[in-house]
Amino acid sequence: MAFWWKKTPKTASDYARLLSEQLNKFDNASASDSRRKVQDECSKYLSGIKHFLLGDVEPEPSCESVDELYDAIYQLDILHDLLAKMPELEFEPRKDVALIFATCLRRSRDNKFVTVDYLVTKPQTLSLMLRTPELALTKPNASDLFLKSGSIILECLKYEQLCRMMLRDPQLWVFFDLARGGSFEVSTESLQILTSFFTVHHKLVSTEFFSHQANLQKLIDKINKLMAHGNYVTKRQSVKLLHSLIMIRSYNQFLTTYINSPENLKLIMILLSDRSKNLQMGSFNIFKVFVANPRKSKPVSDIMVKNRDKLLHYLASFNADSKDTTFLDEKEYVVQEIESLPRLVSPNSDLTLGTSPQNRSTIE
Amino acid sequence: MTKTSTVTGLDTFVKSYKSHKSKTTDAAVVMNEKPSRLYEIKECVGKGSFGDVFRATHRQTGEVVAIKIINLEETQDDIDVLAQEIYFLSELRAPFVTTYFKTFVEDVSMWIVMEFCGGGSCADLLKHLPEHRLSENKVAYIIREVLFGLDYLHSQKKIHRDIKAANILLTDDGEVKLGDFGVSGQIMATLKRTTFVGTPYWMAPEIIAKKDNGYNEKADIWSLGITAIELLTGQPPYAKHDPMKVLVNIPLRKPPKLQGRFTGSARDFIALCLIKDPDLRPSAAELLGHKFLNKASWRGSGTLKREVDLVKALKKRTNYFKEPRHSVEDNVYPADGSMHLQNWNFETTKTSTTRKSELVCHRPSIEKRKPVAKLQIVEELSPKTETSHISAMGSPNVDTPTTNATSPSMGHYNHEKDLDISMGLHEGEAIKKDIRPVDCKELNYFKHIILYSFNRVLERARSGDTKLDVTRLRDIFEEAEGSQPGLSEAFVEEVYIRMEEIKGYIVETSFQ
Repeated sequence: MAFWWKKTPKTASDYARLLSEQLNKFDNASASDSRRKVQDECSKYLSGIKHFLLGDVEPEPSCESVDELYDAIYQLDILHDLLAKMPELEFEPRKDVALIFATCLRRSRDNKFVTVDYLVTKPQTLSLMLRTPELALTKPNASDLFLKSGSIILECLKYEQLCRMMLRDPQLWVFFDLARGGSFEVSTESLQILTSFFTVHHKLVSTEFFSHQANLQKLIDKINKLMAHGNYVTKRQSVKLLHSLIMIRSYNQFLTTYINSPENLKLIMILLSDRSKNLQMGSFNIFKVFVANPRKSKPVSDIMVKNRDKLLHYLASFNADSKDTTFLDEKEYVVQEIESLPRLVSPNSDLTLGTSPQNRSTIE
Repeated sequence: MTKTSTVTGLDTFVKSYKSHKSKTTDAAVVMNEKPSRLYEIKECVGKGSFGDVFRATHRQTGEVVAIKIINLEETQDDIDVLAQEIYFLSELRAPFVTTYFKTFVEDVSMWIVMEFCGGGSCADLLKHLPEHRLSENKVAYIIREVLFGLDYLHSQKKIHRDIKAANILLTDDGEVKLGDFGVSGQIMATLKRTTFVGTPYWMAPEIIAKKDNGYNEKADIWSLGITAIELLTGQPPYAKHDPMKVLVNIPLRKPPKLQGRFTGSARDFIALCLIKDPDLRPSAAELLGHKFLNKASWRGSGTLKREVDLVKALKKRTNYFKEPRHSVEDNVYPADGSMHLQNWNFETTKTSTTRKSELVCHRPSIEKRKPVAKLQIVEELSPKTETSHISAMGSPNVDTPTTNATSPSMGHYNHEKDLDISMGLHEGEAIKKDIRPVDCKELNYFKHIILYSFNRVLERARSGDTKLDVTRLRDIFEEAEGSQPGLSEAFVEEVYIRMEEIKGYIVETSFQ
């Protein structure tokens, strides 16, 4: 592909300009002939830009010419247009788009990520980026398109500034729906995106996202929904995400909110008794946190008390042949804690003997 | 010559891909469709480290595909890693590599639907052909096609990492496709790979030596050279030696050479592939111009259709088949059973005071009014009185304990003190442990609770008189249950409710 550069003696910025022109031609190219032509032109320039940025052309491009190309990409809003026109492009050029994004994002100068700083000033590009995967599902080749546009988001989420802006976009919640209802690719990549959103930049998430109680509750509801209603893969991946969230030290608010709700405990107990060993283990790692909580909320301890014997019986044979000493220690601890719960005692029960139990039972 | 064949190859590929797409659009629209309903699994055609591969046909279109089934409960691999592999596969679309179509999840398994290569692998050819080797022009044809595939792969910054005859697949028409990307890797932009993967005999020295700078796509070229020797002679160099010893020796020794009566161009081609310094080793694109590959256009070479047909006939004659490692029917979740191993008690109506405690704590005003209003409603709905309680046992209402629980009567809870038994808390706990929870569906209140408890009390009774009395009581109970079926259930429920109510009292008083 390198011969494009030898054959056509244009400057680096010319390629960005030509690509930009072609991308905008898609809007008027309705006839399949003209569309085909625009596609071909775009493929050509995209491939050229990719090789130029990666430096695998002969002779190796000079630093000045690379800078010139980057500047042109920013000035012409090429990144925005690439996202907007991605569904129009063919299979191979779409891969080039993702690679160009990743390469641009990694570009640093004077200890600054130039493209990241540029994108921070382009909220509409980031907004479009978050919407591209969902839009992709209505197009032919939905799966490929989804993966490619999703991979661009994943690249962006590595950078805190971009993650911050994207966290403010309500579109992020859509990925929970996509994680539940999509094909294997759509569902796994949606969960990867969500995992990147919430587990990469701890400080950002804890101080700016979890500080809003509404966000916290919504996140819990959404994850619970995945764990309760997803398919096997979605369940495993969402249990894993929840576990990561619970284990992150600075996410104290999240942990406390989660382990104090009886509804959450019920869900985790249901998963604990799932037939899948992997789901059992995944949820055990969350269940143990409920058990270890020294200040359990009353509804949470009520559930444990009520299921004390069932839990002890179930845990007795739970993963008994495991050789993982950490797990065995944790299990022993959990069993001890549950054993120390009062048997069939509900602390608030009516202590006045002789009172007819009717009052109690009829509250329901 | 080379160029045109590539282009036409791509064209037919694009066509066949599109036709496949259009055929499977229905399946693509219906999300979460069960693959076992879409495809009929035929015989096992391969056992990979990542799961068994089956031939399968689409139930509606009859289209033949290969399906790799990976049991996600069994595999050690993280789902994220497997997902990355799927993304990797979905990025490959070329006539020289097996095409990935779609992935499904059913039960705890992944079903990866791929293009089917009916001709088996080149290793199958070596195994089943009478001479156990291939002629130079056939090998040149295979190597050339593989190089097209590698050139495509390498241009995408991808490495196959496990090139060998067993991973070079053949279609029914004898065309060559690169398959099994189980260990393939993506070179991220400028990073080089450092992971140790592959199969010892075919492994490049730089992978084994684990040099600081890692390895790149040239590792595939080395493996291709070894594969050429394998195809020409029937096995890779040092095949008779222990794989771990070979592993140690590959970086130390001079590169293997093609031994035997072969042409100079074959020798030269292999020597180029097996240059130890990866930087000096030629790329796939460079090797495509080598004169050895001109043999591929010799008269009579063409595809490997003749060999494929021959091997098929031989396999049929010997009744050759592969036994899959996992049975497809082995499901973790039974089709008509529960997804769970244990039922928890989350009900708040029957036994819990949670609701009430909430009311007591947070909404005292409501709590005061509600029970009265509710009680009236309940009484209106339930004509049963305390006296009619037992006689109602034979009625269908027996199965609805919540209704019964609204009108219990138990005034003599401490009659148990009359029995000659010690009722220490610890002993009580010990009993509890011995009890084997019984499946709710089969729970017989008389047998599993009343009779059980009487027998336990009988064991604890010290004097013969006590034993006699307990036995008598038990027999009376049995008799009563016989004439009033459901009596035990009602009795147990009432005891349970009452015990729960007074438990706090018992604990409190027992510590005084």
